[in-house]
Amino acid sequence: MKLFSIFHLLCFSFSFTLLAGELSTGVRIQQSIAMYNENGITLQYSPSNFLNNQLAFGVSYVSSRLGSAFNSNAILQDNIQLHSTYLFSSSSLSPSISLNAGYCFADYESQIFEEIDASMPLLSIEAGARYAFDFPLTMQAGLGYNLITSDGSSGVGTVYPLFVQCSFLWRFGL
Amino acid sequence: MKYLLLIIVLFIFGCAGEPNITDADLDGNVLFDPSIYSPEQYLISKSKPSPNEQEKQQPVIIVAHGYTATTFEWNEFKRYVDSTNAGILVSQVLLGGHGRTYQEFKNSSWKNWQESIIQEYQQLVKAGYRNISFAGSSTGGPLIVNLFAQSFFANTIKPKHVFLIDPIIVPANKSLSMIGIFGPMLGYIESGEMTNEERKHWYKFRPQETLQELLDICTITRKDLESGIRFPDSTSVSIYKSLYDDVVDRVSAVLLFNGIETKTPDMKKVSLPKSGIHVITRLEGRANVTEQDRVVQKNVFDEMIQDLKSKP
Repeated sequence: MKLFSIFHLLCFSFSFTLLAGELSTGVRIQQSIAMYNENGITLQYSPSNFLNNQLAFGVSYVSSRLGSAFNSNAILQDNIQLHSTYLFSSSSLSPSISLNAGYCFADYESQIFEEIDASMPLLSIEAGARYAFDFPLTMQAGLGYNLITSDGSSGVGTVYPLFVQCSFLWRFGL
Repeated sequence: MKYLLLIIVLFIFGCAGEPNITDADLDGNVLFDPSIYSPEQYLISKSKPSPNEQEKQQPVIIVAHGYTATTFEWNEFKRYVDSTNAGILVSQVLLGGHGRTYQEFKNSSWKNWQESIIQEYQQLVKAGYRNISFAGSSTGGPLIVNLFAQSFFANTIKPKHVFLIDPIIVPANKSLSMIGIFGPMLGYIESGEMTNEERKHWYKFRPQETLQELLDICTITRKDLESGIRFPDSTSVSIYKSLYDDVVDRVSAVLLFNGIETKTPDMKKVSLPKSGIHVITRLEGRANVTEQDRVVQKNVFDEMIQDLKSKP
């Protein structure tokens, strides 16, 4: 798990050292199947002189605070993830696969529950598609599978296996 | 990852028409829950249908078992209560669709399961009982909590106390969330290792239709809790959740505690026993029971009796 995160960090840092590329930022909407809706922000970088602009690295923050837990008793849950995405073509519509790794932090809002794990690592795979509009907007959607979930006695119980996500990103040339 | 592998394995080996049910299984056509033959030994509405004025004030607790279980799950509690001469009446309901045959279970919905609890409550109120409480283990928990979410008690006698023993809101095995996708391909899921005693009192085979019903009641209750469920002013609640239970995720206790609103904060209690047993109130028939488990069970029973005997 740590190795994946280090890999992501290295790729992310390395890609920024390349001269040209595309930076995009936007919102990420995520819905776990039979569990929470979590929304947040995402930042993505695609180095132009690396795999023909078909590889992207990013970081995202999604939280139930901006979804199911907004004005409700749902568990406050924050997820920070690094992701790498490969596009199968450089055309405007392309299938994609992603590898995501990060951490989830939960807040149970009471000391009574201090014996229950309030954080856990996240590792997921995702398949989907990306569409780049003529103007600098990109839509990226995917179906993901969390490889790590709670077994009931460890981890955060509200991290569920299947999720769908959709991101809207505004592109900036570098 | 293990769930993904489990699904693939179940898909390859689990795709079968009907399960292989033997006469030694509750699922078959030979063994049935004894409350079907002798309801008066399990239901207070049948054993004491015409209480006198003193008996009407006696605490009565309706106990509801979990998914695939039977009245057996609350036998130990009833025996313990009777042995203490606490003056508490225990009414053991058999959830709809349970304790019968695999086919009857397969055809049942969570509303059918809940119907037995409603019926017994209504019968007790009709008979004149005034001091009624509830206890639900595992799936019995959300079935009872759902009644409060529906404002079922708005125009009737308010329950005095609600005890939730390892109530399921979030399952430990997260593959249940995908039952709608893979269930129809699987048909049913076989339970893990069971003792001979457990095979007489629990269904061994879980039809995918009932797993979908289980997911439904869990999801409905979770959403109700997110919106907040207001308990009547006179109703208090105690939640017991084993920390190392492998059936119900411990986050269920958090969701219930944060989602149930009682008149005062001290009317809501949560206890997290350091036990690996799902539903500590039932130890009989288990393969491995430690002295510590018996101590935890006795403590839970004693606390429940104390709460039931406390003045309204």
